[in-house]
Amino acid sequence: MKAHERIAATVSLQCPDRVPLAPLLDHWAAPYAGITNAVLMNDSEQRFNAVLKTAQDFRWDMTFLADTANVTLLKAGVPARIKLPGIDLPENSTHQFDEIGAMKDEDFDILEKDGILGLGTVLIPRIYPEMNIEQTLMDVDQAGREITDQALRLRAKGIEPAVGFVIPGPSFEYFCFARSVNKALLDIRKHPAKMKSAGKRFCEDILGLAILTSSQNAIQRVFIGLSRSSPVFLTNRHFEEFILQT
Amino acid sequence: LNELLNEREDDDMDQLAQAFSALEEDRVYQIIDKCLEKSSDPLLILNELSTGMEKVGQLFKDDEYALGELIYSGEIFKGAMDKVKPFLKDGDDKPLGKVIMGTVEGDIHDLGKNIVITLLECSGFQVIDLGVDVPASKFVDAVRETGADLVGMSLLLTTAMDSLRQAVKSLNDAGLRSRVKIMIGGAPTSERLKENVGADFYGRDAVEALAIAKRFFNQ
Repeated sequence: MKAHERIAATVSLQCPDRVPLAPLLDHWAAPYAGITNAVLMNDSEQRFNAVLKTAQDFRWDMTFLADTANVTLLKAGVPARIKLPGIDLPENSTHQFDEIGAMKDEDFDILEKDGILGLGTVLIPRIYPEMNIEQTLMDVDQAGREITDQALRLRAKGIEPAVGFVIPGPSFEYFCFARSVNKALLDIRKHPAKMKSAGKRFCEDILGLAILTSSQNAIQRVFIGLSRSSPVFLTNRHFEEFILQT
Repeated sequence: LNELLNEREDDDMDQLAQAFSALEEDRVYQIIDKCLEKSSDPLLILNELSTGMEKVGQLFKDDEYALGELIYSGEIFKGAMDKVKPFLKDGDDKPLGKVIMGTVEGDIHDLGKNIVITLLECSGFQVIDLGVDVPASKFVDAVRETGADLVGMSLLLTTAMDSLRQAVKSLNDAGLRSRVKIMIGGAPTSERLKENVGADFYGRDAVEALAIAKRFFNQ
């Protein structure tokens, strides 16, 4: 079986010839390939080469393109200020999110009315005053093209790219970044209706973006991040009410 | 009539801890307003709030509550304190002990640390919050300046373990370890790591950290 057949067989609950290997890879490729985390996060070509070397050496069937360590995508997609290796942190550190609470109470209405892109144009200048929205959109477009190209090159080597789009999570995860975990957890008590209605809009928009992007890069799988939606943070009742619904 | 009024006051007081542990924010404030209007002893109110907070901690331990509920209870407690504080006399809110808290260098995660701080403050401890990304020297300076007896060091990243080790070592090198105890907490921490870095206590979660502080200060 080829890698993509092995993955497809497993996903459709058929029996593959062996267990497929498909680890979630982000920064680990950097030390393995002998580059710094700072380089991995900022240099698209060196990132791809590190990912390819790691996947080939370990004979993986599928690999992430270190999408979660791509500065352009992180800055545009995650509504918290990122502390970066080589700039805010030592060269080989892992990036960290500083939840500065950029999203205000009234921004729930902007999300509900103008959608995720509308909210993004409000939040990005607050989080990164040095960034320009038009330039950011062009950078994201360029990053999208690079991923499409890298997916083709990966497949040519017999390795399947893992996902065509990374969703930061259900709306609650997004609010945790945008508002801060603390505030988002309190919002569940203080603004439940807003969280649900704005969350519904977030869900519709992000799914639309995921479908569009995955169609363009021909990797029809998406990654949905979940960390703050775990039972450590939320009770079962709140999980059903605020996570499953949005 | 006085007896009847006293009985009613007791009823209100009895309901305070219950309302607090059920996280009924508005009801907690209503009961406090009522008690203060009737000139109830503010220390009795604090005592009931503290009982309510203990119950919240127990519900968290029993997995009935999650971190969201712990954070919300801290918020209610702060609101309650705003109401009670003006009625306290000098010395009524004397802290049970002084604790320094900080997330070690190289790590900017503050959620766990902040929950511990909330629980400590709600239970009557004075907390000196050094914030996040705290260099070892800052822990040393804080111990010297404040005379705190307990230091809490928090971390989420495995990469920050060396900073934890360094912070403990710096307190040793500064000759302060005989007068200060260190508790550690956060995702990558464990009893084993505690032994390894030479700390004194390991708290698996915020409720355990509070229990450690209470035991340490004999409360």
